[in-house]
Amino acid sequence: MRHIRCHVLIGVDANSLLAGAKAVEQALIKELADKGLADEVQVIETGSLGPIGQGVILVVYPDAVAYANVTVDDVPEIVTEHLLKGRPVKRLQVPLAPEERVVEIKPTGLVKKPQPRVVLQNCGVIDPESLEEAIAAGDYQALVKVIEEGMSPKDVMEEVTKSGLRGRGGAGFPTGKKWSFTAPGPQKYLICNADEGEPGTFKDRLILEGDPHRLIESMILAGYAIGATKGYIYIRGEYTLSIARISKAIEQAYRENLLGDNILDSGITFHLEIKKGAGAYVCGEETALIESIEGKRGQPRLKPPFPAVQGLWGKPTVVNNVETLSNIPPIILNGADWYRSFGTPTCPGTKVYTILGHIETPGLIEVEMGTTLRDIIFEYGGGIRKGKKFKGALVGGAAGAFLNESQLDVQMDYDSLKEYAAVLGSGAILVMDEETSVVSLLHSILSFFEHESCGQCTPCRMGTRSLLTIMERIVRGQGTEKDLDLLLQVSENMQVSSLCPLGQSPILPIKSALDYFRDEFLERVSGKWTEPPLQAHEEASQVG
Amino acid sequence: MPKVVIDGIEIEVPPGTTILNAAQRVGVEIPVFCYHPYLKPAGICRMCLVEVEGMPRLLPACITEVQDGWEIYTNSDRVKDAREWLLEFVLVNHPLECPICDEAGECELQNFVFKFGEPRKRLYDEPFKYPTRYLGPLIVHQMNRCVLCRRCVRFSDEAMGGTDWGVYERGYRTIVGPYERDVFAQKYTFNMEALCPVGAITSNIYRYKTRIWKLDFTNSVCAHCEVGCWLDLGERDGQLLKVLHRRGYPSPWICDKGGYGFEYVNHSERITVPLRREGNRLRGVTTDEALEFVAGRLKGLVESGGKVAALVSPHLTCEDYLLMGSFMKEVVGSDYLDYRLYGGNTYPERPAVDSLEGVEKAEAYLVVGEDLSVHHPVLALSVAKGCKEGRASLYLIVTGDSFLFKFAAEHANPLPGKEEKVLEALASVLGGKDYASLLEGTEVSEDTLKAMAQGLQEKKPLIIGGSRLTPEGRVLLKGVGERLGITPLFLDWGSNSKGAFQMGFWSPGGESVEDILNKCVSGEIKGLFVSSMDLFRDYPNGTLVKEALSNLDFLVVHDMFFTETVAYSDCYLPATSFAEDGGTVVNMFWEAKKRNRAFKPKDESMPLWQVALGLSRKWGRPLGDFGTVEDVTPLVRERLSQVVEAPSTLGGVKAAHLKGDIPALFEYPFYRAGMRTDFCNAFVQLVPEPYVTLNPEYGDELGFKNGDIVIMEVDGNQFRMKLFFRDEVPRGGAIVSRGFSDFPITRALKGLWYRGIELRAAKE
Repeated sequence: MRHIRCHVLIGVDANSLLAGAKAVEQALIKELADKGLADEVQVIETGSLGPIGQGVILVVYPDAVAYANVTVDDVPEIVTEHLLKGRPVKRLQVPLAPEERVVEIKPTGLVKKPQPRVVLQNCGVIDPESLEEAIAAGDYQALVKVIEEGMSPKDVMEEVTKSGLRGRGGAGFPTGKKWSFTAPGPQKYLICNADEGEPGTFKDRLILEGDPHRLIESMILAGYAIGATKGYIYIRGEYTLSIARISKAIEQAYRENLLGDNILDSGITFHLEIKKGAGAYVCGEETALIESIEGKRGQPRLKPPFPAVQGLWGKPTVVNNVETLSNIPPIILNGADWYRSFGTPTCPGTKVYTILGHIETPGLIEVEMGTTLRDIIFEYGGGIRKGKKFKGALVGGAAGAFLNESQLDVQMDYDSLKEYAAVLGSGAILVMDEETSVVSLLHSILSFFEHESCGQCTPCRMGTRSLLTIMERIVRGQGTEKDLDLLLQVSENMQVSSLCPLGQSPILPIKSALDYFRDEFLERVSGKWTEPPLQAHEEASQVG
Repeated sequence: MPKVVIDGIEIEVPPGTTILNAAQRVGVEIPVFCYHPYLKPAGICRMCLVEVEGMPRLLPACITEVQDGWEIYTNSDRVKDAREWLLEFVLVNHPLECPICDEAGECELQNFVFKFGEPRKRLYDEPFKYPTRYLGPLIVHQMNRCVLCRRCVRFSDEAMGGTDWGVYERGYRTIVGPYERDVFAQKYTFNMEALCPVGAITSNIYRYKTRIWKLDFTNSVCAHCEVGCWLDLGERDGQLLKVLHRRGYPSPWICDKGGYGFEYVNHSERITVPLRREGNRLRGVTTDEALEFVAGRLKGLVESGGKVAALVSPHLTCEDYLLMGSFMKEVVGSDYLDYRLYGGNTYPERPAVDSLEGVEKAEAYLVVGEDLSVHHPVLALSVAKGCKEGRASLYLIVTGDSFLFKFAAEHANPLPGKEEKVLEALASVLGGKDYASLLEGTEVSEDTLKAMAQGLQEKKPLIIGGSRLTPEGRVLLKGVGERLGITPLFLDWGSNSKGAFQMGFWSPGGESVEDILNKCVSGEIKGLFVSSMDLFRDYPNGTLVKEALSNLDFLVVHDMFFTETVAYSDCYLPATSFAEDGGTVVNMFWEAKKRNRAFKPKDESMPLWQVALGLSRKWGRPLGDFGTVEDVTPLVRERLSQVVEAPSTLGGVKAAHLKGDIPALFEYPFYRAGMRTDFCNAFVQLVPEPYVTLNPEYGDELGFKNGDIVIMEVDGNQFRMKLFFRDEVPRGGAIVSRGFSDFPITRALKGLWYRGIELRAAKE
C-alpha cells in the first residue's frame, strides 16, 4: 500500500527541458523503484519554480530543500543520501531563505527574498497536469463562490473594478473599466492574450505552464462578468509546452463540466478554444490578434471601433492578458479590499516580473506593485552577477525604456514610471552590468522592430527600417553626431504618426538610451572607435 | 450639425463627415495615398494627418469624423513636419525611374512631393530591387515603385470578393501582388491599375507608348456592352493609346473590356479602303466607285424582284440604325432588317430600375440566364456590392456563372439548356404547385429551389433576366415577377440593342435573323448588307450562315477587318471604330448617351449612317442633307421619345438540340465577349483558342485530366480543343467557349447556344 511521506517536485518548463529535466525525472523514478521507495516518495512534475538558468531544479517536501543544476549522475546520490537516509546533499543545495512570508509560499530557498504570490500561488507547487491538485490548491474556488453566493455578473465586475486591477499586458488600463465598455449584444467574446512576444518576457508562459486551471477559472469568471459564452486563448505557437498543458487542462475541465454548457448546474455557459499564433510580435496588439484569430493577416485594425464594440467576428470582445486574468480568482475569493492591501493605491496588487541579464538569479518573481527597482534587482534578483557594477536596466521589453543607476529607486508601478518616461510594459527587466554596450543593445532592439513591423502603415514600415540603417552606421563606428539626432527625429515622427503602438514605441528605448548613455554613443560616432568587444555584442544580440 | 474651422475657414457639415471630406468642401487639399472615395477607409498611409487644437496626437483626416467646435489645421508646423517625413519615408527606397515611368505626369507621389515634400534628403538607403513582373498582357507590376497604399488589394477584396492579389511578407519587406499566378487578368484588372497612385501597376498595352501629357482625351461611351460606361479616350496622332475612366459614371469601376479592349482601333490589319470583287480578287476602289457599285447592284436586284436584307451589329449608334433603317425601308423597300446577330430572339423591354444605384439599393437579387460578369460586367459588380457587405442576398439560376456565384446565397447551376426549366420550377414553388418533376435532369436540388423561393419571398428582390432567355423564358420570369410584385430588368446583348430597337431596326413581320438567313438560302432574299459583325463568329449556326451567304447574288459587308464574312462579299466598305465617330447610344436603363469622336476616321473609313446616306444619294433618293453625325441626332432624339411596340416573338424558338453525350453551353470567355475582341492583341493572348470546360469531378468520372487535348464531336464534325476543369461548370454538362473568328466553332450549332456534344481524348 502506498504511503507517501515525501514529494519531489521537478520543475518542467522549456528551460529545464533543455537542461535534461525529463531524463532526470526518469532516472529519479527508476532509482526510487530500485531502492524500493516508489511507494513512499512521489515525483511530481510542476511548472517553472521561478529561477531560470540553473538547470534542472528539484524541491523536496516536506523538508523544503531545493537542488539546482541536477544531472542524471546526481540522482543516485540524492536518492540514497537524502530520500533514503534523510541527509540533504549540500553540494547541490540552494541556500535557504528566511521563513517569514506574506502570502503562503513554500520555503524552497530558491527565492532570494519572500514574495507575495497572488498570481503564481500554485506555480511550481502543483502538478499542472492534474486537475485534482489544482482544485486541492484552490483553483475553481472563486467560481464556486460566485455560484454558491449567487454573485451576479455585475457583482463580479464591480468587485474587479473595486480592486483597482489594471491590465498587465503593458498599458495598465483598469480592467473593470475595460469590461464595462463592452457593448450590449447577444454574442460577445473573451480573448486571453497569451501571445507573449515582448523580448525577455516569459511570465505568461510560466503561468500557463504552472497553473493552467487558474487561467481557465479566471476566463469563466471574466466571461460571466461581461456576458461572453465563448473564449479564445490566443497563444504563441512556440509555446508548445504551454499549449499542451492548457489543452489538457481544457479537456479535463470539459470532462468535469467546469467548462461547457451549464457549468456545475449553475446556468453559466462558457466554451474555450485555443488559437495558436504564428510568431508575429504585432499580434500581441489586440486588434491584430483578433484579425489573426479570424484567419486574416495579423495587422492592427483602425480604432475606433474598439474591440469592446466591434471585435472578433464584428462582435463585442474583451482582450485580456494572461496575468491580468489570473488575478481575478483571488480577487473574487478574497475580495477587493484584500487585493488592495498589496501594491500602491493607484496600482494595487502584485506584478510578475521576469528578471534577466547580468543578474545573480535570473527568473520569474512576483512582488508588490511599487517595489523599487533596486529591491527587485538587488534583493529579489540577488544583485549583479560576478560582483560587477550595475550600469542600467531595460524595463518593459523592447518597447520599454532604459533606466540608469540614478533611477534605481523608482517605484515600479504604472504611474511612477511615467514620470521617468518609462513604462512597466510586459514586466521584463533586463539588467546590464558595467561592461554592457548600450549601443549594441539598442541596435539589437531596432533590428527587432524592423523585423516585426507589420508593414501596414508607412511611418512604422519605413521608419523602423530607417532607424535600423542609421543604427547600423552608428554601431560600425561610421555614424556622426547628426545620426543621433536623426534617430530621435525619426522615432518622434513615428510616435506621432504611426497607427498602432508598435510604431509608437521605438522612441522609448531610443530616447532613454540617448538621454542616459549619450557618452557611449558619442564615443561610437567620434570617429576613433574600433572593434566592439565581442562578448558584449553577443550577449546583447541574445536579447532580441 | 457640427461646426468646425479648417485652416481658418468655418464650415458646418453633417454629422459623421470626416475631416478630409469637410476639407474638400472648403477647398483645402489634404494629400492622401490610401484613401479613395469608392473604397473603404484604411487609414494606413498616414499622409492625411492633420492637427486638431487640443488633441495630443495628429489625426488621420480620412477616417476621423469631425466633432463640433474642432479647430483643424492642415498646414501647421507639426503637420508639415509629419508630411515631410512621410514623403521622405516613401521616397527613401523609391527608384528614380520617373523619366521612363508610364505614370509620370499623373503620379500622385510626384505631385505630393512637388507640393508638400521636403527638398532636403535626410535618410539614405538602397533603392528597392524587386523584379518587374509582367503579369500577362494586361498589366505590369513593379513592386519597386509601390507605396503600399493597398488600394489594389482593397479593390480586389471589397469589389471583387477576393482574388489572388494580396499582401505578403511584412515590415519593410512587405509586397503586394498575386501569389499563385503569373498571369493576372481578372475581368476588372483595369481598376487596380487605375487605382494605383504611382507606377507600381501600369498597363502593358500602354507601356512606353507615349507620355500622358501628349494625349488628348475625349469623353465617350464604351462600345462593348449596354452598361455604357463613360470612358476618356486618349488619342495621339490618330491612335487610341489609353483609356481612362475619370468620371465615375455609371459606376466608379469599369471592366477590362472597357479599359483595355480598344486595341482593334489601331490594329495593323485594319482595311481602310473599299474593295470590290473582280472574280477571285478584291480590288481597292474609291469610296465613290464602291457606293455607286453597291447602290447600282442593289437597285438592280430590287428591280428584278429580288429582296434585300440588312444585318447590322448591335454595337453601333442610333444614328447608324436610323439612317440605315430609313434607307432599307424607304429607299430599298425591304422588310428584312435586324440587329440581333448573336442569335437572340427577344426585343428590349423597359426596365424596373433606372440606374446602377437603384440596382445597388436592392435587398435581394434573382439573376436568371446570364453570366453577368461576361456580358454586363459592371452590373455584376453592383450586384456583388450589396451581397459582399451582407446587405443583400443573391439567388442565381445561371449555368456556369463565373463571378457572382461567390456571393450567392443560393446558386442553382442547371445543366446547359435547363435554366428555364428551373425557372418554371421556381414559378411553381412560388405558386404552391408541384415542381419536383420539372427539376428532373437539371442537376438542381429541391432544397436549393425551396430555399431560393423562401428567400425571395422574405426580401423584395430585383429580378434580372439575362440575354440568354428565350421569349418563353421571359414570360416565365415576368410571371415570377408578378407573383412577387416586381417588373424584371431584362438585359440585351450588344452595346446599343435598345437604340437599334427604338430606331425600328427590325423586321416589321417579326422575322428573326434565322428567318432572314433561311430566306437567303431559299433565294427569296438575293442581296444582303452586313455591318460590323462577323456572322461566322457570332451567329450560332455556321452551316446556315455559309449556305445563306453562298446562295446570295450580292453581299456587301461594312466592317473594319477582313473577316470570313467579308471573304464571301462582293463589296467591302471600310467602317470606323467607335472612337472615330460620335452618335447616340441607349444604355441598359434606356438612357440616351452621347459617344464623341476622339479623332478623325482613318483613310476612307465611314460610319454606317454615312454609308446609308451615300447609298441613298447614289440611288437617287437622298435621305437628307446631313453633314456630321450631330445633324442626325435631333431625328434620333425624336424617335427615342416615341413608344415602340415590338412584334410578338413567342413560338419562334426551336428546341435546343441537346442529344448526344453531354449537354453543352457555348459561351463567350470574358475576354472574347464584346466588340471586335478578336483584334485586341492582349485579349487574343489571354484566350488564344477555344476550349471545353468541365466540372473537375465530372471530368474525373469521364477519365479526363485538366489540360487534356480532346476531340469534341457534333454531327460528325470534329473540333480539336483543350479541356480545362472549372468548378463553376455544372456536373454532367460542359461549357464550350465561343467568339473566335478564326475557329469555326459556330458550325457545331443549330441556332441556339446549346448543343449536345460528344467528347473523347485526342489520339497523339
